[in-house]
Amino acid sequence: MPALDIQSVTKSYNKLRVLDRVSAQIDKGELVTLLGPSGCGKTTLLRSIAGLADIDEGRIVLEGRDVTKVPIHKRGIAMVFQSHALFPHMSVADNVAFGLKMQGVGKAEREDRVKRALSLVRLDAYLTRMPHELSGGQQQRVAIARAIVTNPTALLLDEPFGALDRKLRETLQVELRRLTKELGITAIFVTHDQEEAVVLSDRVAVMNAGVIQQIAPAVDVYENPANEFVANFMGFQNIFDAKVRSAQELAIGDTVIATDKIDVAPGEGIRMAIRAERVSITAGHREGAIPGQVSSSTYLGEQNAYVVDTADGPVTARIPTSVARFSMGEAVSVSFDPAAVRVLAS
Amino acid sequence: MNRLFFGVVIALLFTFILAPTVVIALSSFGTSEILEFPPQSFTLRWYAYALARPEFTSAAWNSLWLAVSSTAIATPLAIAASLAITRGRLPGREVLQTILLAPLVVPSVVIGLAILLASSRLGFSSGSTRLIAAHVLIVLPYLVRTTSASLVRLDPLAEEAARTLGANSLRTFLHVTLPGLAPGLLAGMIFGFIISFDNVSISLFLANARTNTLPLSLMSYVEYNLDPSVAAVSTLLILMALVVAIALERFAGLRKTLGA
Ligand SMILES: Nc1ncnc2c1ncn2[C@@H]1O[C@H](COP(=O)(O)OP(=O)(O)OP(=O)(O)O)[C@@H](O)[C@H]1O
Ligand SMILES: [Mg+2]
Repeated sequence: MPALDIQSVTKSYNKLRVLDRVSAQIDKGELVTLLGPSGCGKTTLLRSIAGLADIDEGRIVLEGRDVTKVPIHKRGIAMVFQSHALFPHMSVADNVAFGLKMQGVGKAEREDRVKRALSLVRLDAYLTRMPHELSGGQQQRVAIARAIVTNPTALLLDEPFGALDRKLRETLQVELRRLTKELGITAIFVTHDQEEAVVLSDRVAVMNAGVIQQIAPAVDVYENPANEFVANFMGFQNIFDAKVRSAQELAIGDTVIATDKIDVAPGEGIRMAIRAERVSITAGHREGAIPGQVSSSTYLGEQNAYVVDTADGPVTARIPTSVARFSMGEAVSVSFDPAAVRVLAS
Repeated sequence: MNRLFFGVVIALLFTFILAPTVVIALSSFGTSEILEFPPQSFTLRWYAYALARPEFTSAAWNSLWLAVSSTAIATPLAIAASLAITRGRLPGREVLQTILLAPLVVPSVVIGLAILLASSRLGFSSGSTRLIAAHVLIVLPYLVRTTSASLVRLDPLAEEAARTLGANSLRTFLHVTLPGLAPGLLAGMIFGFIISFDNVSISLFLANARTNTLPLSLMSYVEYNLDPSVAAVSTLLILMALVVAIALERFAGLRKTLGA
C-alpha cells in the first residue's frame, strides 16, 4: 500500500485546467521531487494534497485513508512554503512548538521534541531568537523543523530553497535528504531545478501543463526520458526526426546511424534524442556520421561546446578540451554513441 | 545658511503648534477669576473647582463611556471588515472599502445631521443608542485602516502553515492572525478612542441633557464663563492625549521589534 496515493486529481481555476487527472503513488519514506516549468501546476498539486485547495475530481488517499474531504488541520500533512511562512511574532522555539501545541502534546514533551527537531536542523542554539533575527537559510531550516516535529504522515515542500544561494542550497539538500531518511518521512519536494531533483530524490516526477509526464528514479528520467518534453526539460540538447530502418538502425536524413535495440517497427518515423556529451566530432567526412560545419564554439573549461550545422539541423556536442579542438567553419562529421541514442514516445 | 533657515522654520512651526497648548496649560494655574496670560500668581484651585462641578464630571463619564463602548463595538466589526477587504475574494470589496472609509472624508456635521434625520424618521430616538451608533461610524474607518494595514503585511501563508500544523480556523485566527494584526488594531483602538472622546460636531446633533459629552459641556460653559476651570479641564485632556501618544509610540517601537 502506498503511503500517499494520488488518484486522478483534476483541478481547474476559472475553466483553466491546472491539474489534469494527476495520479501518483508514493511509498512510505520515499522522497519524490516534482519537477516542471513555472506555472505547470506544482504548487497547485501540493496545495490539493494538503487540502489548501479543493479539487474538482479525484481522490487523495493517505496511508489507506481517503482524506479528499478531510479538513486541512486533520490531515496530518505538513507543508514547507517557498517563503518560509514562519509566525513573525513567535520565537523559533514557539514556532516549532506550534504544531505540537495544536496536537495537545504536554509542555515537557513539547520542549524536548522542539529541541530535538531544532538540533536535527542544527539550530539548537537559536531557540529564543525571533524569525526576523535569522538568515534566510536559517529561517528555512526552522520551517523544516516546524514541519517535521509533528511527525507528519507526509511532508510537502514547495521550492523551499528557491531563494537561497547555490552553496547553501546544496548543504540544505543534503541535510533534508538525511533528515527524511533518518525519520522515514514520506515527502514531495517541488523544484524547477533539475539538478536539485536528481541530487535529492528517490524518484522524480516531471510535470508539464498539469500532467505528470514521467515518474521514475532520477537515473531513468535523466537517461531514458519518456517523451520529448521530459528529454528537453532534462537537458537533452539534440532532438531530431528519424526513421527506423531496422531493430538497430535509424536514418537521420541520408545518414544511417547505429543504435541499441529499438522497439519500434521499421519504416516508422520517430523522434530521437541524444545528450551533447555523447556526440563526437571527427574532422572530415566519415561513413555513418552526419557531415557538417562547425558554426560555433564555446569554451567551458574542461569542455568545449560546439554547434555543427548539418543538412538535418544544428547538432550540439561537448568535447573534452583534452581530446580534440576544432575551428570555426571546419568541415567535420558528427556521430552518436549508439548506447546513448534515445527514441522518444510521441 | 540653508540649515539655519530650515531650523528657524521648524522652530516656528513647533511654536505655532505648541504655543496654544502652553498658553492653556499655564493659564489653568492662574489665580484670577478670568482667564489671563501670563498668570500673575499660581494655584491649583481651578482643578479642584472643575473636578467638583457635576456638569464636567458627569460629562466626562459620558464621554469616557461613549468612547469606550463605541471603540469596543467597532473593534470586532473592523476586524471582520479588514479580513473581508484584504483576504476575502468578496466581489465589490473596493466598493466596501470606500464605503467603510467614507466617514473620513464626509464632513462630520453632515454625518451628524444625516443620522439625526434618519433616526427620527425611523422613529428611533433613544439618545445613547443613537449616539453610540454614530460614534461607531466615525471610529470604524480608523480601525479598519490601521487593522488592514497590519493584515496586509501578514503573510497569508503563515495562516495556511498553521492550518497544516493542525490548527482549525478559530485557533489559526487566535494564534496567528490576531497577533499579526494586533499592532494595527491597538493603534486603531487608541485613535478611535480619541476621535470619539474629542468629537463635537456629531454629538452636537445627537446628545441630550443626559448624554451630554465633555467637549459639548466645555463649549456651553465657555459661552457664559471665562474662568480658568475650562483651561484646567483642557489641560487634563491634553495630558491624557499625551499619555496615549506615548503609548502609541511604544507600539510603533514594538512593531519594529516584531519585525513586521
Ligand atoms: N488561486 C488561483 N487562481 C487562479 N489561477 C491560479 C491560482 N493558483 C494558480 N493558478 C494558475 O494555475 C496554474 C498553475 O499554478 P501553480 O502555482 O500550481 O504553478 P507552479 O508549477 O507552482 O509554478 P511556479 O514554478 O512558478 O511556482 C498557473 O497557470 C496559475 O496561473
Ligand atoms: Mg509554485
